[in-house]
Amino acid sequence: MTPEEKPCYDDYNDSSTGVPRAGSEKSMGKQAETALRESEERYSTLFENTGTSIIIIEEDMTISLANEEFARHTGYTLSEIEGVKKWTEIVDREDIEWMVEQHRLRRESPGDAMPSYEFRYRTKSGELRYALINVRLMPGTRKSMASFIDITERKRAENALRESEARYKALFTGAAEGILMADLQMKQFHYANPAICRMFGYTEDELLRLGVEDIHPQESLEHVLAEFEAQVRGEKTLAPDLPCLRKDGTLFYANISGISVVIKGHKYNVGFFTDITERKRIQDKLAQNESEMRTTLYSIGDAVISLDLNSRVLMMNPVAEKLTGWSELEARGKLLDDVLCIVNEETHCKVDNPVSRVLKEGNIVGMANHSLLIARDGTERPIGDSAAPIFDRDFNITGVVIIFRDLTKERETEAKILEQLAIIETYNGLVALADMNGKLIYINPGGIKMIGATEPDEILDKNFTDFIEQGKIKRVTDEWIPTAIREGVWNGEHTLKRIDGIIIPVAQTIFPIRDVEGNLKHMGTIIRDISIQKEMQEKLLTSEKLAVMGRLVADVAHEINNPLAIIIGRTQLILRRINEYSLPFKEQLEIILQSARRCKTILGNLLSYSKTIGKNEDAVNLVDLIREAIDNVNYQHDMSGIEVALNCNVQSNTEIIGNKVALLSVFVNLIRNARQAMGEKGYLIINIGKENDNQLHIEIHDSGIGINSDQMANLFKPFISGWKDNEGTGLGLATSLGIIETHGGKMWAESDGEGKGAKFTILLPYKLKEGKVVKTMNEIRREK
Amino acid sequence: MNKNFMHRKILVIDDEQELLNLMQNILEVEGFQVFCASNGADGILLNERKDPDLIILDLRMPEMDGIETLHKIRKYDNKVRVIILTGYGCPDTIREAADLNISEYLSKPFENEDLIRVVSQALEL
Repeated sequence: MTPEEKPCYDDYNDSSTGVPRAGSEKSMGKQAETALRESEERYSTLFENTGTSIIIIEEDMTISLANEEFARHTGYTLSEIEGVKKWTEIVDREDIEWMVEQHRLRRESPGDAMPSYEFRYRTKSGELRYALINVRLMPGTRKSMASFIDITERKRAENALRESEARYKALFTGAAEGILMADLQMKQFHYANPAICRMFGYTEDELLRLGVEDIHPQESLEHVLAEFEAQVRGEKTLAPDLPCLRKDGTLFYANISGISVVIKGHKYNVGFFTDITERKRIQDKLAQNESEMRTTLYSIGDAVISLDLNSRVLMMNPVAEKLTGWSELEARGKLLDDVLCIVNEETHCKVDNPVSRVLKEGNIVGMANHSLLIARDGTERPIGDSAAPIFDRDFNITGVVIIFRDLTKERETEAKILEQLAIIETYNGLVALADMNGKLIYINPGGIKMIGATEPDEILDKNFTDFIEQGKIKRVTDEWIPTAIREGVWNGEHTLKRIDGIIIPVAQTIFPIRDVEGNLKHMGTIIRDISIQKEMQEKLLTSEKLAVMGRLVADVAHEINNPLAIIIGRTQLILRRINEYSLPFKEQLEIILQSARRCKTILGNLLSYSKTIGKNEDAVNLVDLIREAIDNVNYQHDMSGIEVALNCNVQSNTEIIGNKVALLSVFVNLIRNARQAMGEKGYLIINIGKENDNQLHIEIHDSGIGINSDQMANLFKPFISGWKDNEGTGLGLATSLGIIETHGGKMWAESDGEGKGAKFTILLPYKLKEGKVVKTMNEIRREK
Repeated sequence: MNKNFMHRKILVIDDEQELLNLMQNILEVEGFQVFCASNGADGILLNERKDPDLIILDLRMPEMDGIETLHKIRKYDNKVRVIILTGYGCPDTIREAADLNISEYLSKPFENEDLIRVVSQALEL
């Protein structure tokens, strides 16, 4: 807009104060002139002061006359308008066409033209404005007079209102929330939007015939109404989780926020309904899921910690609480490193938690071996652990779960197992495992030795039946193993066949080995070599038998002693009274006497032998024993004429383990024999020395009558006495040999013949008495 | 009959009646005065009453045996000489009895001469 085009205030002022010029001519009749002037002035005044824009339009659409109001509205000066502007120049282009038509119609067919209409015009500055116009032909002319009122402000308000209404309407009808307006007194509905209709399944008309009490279940009405009243009072705006009743009788839950409004002096409550059924369902489901997860988590025997992607603790089960020393409440939201302190068992260096690895690799990772968990209170526990990612439905990792376990017990068990293994490995009996086909899969070193092998390879892969005597396999497989499986163990004695074929008596235990589920895995056996026990047992049994026999013999011998004494005594008394008349009886009486004396000798031997049998074993010092034997012989036979030499070439702590009484009887017997062979005078030489590392060598020489070859042949046979005149019983040497052999020894006799003495040789196992030996430090060092 | 044996009193204690009779017979023939007891208790009683020079005591008797009897006798009488009768070749019992101050021992069965010899030795006659 140029400065020239600008409306000029001065001009405006001029025109506003100016006088209409039309018809103001000089020569007129004075009166008429005056009347006309008055009339013109009246019109002019009216024209200028109506407050309405008025223009007069020529047929050619030129504005011939305009008032100040019009000029003000349009922004032009009167001089710019009157006789210059056509109205079409002022009207907005869009309205020109139909207004031109109206212009024409008004002149051609005035009845068809609209007397009044709205149109749009533009001011000098180009602003679009609205006007309501009244147009009429001036009577008798083709001019028309138009008056218009600027309605721009009204129009704008109207438009604004319409737009806002449309917006609101769109908002209300398009809202996802249901909107219901209820009147406060009657609680009847006055407005319902489509969403609420859909929500309840009613049409709008149906809803508007209902009230608050119709759309909630009977049992919750009290609560609903209390919430309604609270909203009315403005105490609260949100009534959460209210049950609502659909037309079809089904229920749904809604959050209702309410607001009170006053329309035309009437109070309403507008309720905004949000259907939370689905949300509630999801929430419930979520809660249920979480509760299920929690239950699972809590019932797991391992410690479980779940973390978000930032390694912050989300959940922790009680086992994890116990092991870490943190409660779930305290730990929640904390960084894993603050809660779970894991160090290397040996170095005590911190071990990285596996979360970052899990996040990077996206799969389950185990934590480093030999991990030690340090609890909040400093308690250290060995743990085994692993970590796994948590995926959502789309396989995105949403967190990490760490699972770990206190291995303290396992470690103890492990240690215990090692200890037990050590015991088994050092046990000198046999411990072996076989699979269910009988193949040996384990044997301890003691077992390898017992079975006569040197290397496990010699035995492993063999079947256990290889070590059982052929005839006994069936009993093992058909009786003992089934018993062991049925009753958990079989115990008994049988024999073991070594790889060299030697059979040894053993005590055996057979037991099944089962896995955790109780399935048979292997058969185990423990075997103890009982050769020595067996031997001992047999010895014991023999010695028990002998003890009984010995007592019996002693009793019988003593009982016979008395009658024998009577027989001998009485016979002798009779013999003393023999005279020539009774002489024929003498010989027979002497036979009686001799027989009785022989009985006496037998009894004597039996008695002394009975004392030797069935006695316990002791450590016996041989030199002492021989001295005692000499003393004993001396009781019965005077030894004073015999020269005795006892030569001993063994250590003083040399001992023989055996039955002292029995061994004594052997030497008593031998020395008494020597004494008898020598008579009252002679030499008795006894030499004791070592035969080898295990046996002693004992020689008894006498200078007696010697032994001839006939005698030698029967020397050790029982009941054949070498003594003349029925002196001996034939038991002495026989029992002596028996005793020596029982002690693991040997005995034999030598003689260069009659009159050349005799030599008895005995070999006996010995051992060295174990005493307290105090070693010097030097000795100990030397041993090392 | 040996004059040295006259008026010597011998107490024989043995549970075997026939043996008592035999020994009494043998010893009386020799001139001894013989008392017989068939158990330990009677023997102790007779020892008190008869005050013998010598006791011949059988070790093997039921109830109170010879060792016990000797113990009891020795409690009040350490003077009387004692010969013990044992089974043949029982050095143990002989040693046990030796502690109780015995003069001699005699193994059963014995010869009559042995009995007289041992008695003579014990009485140092």
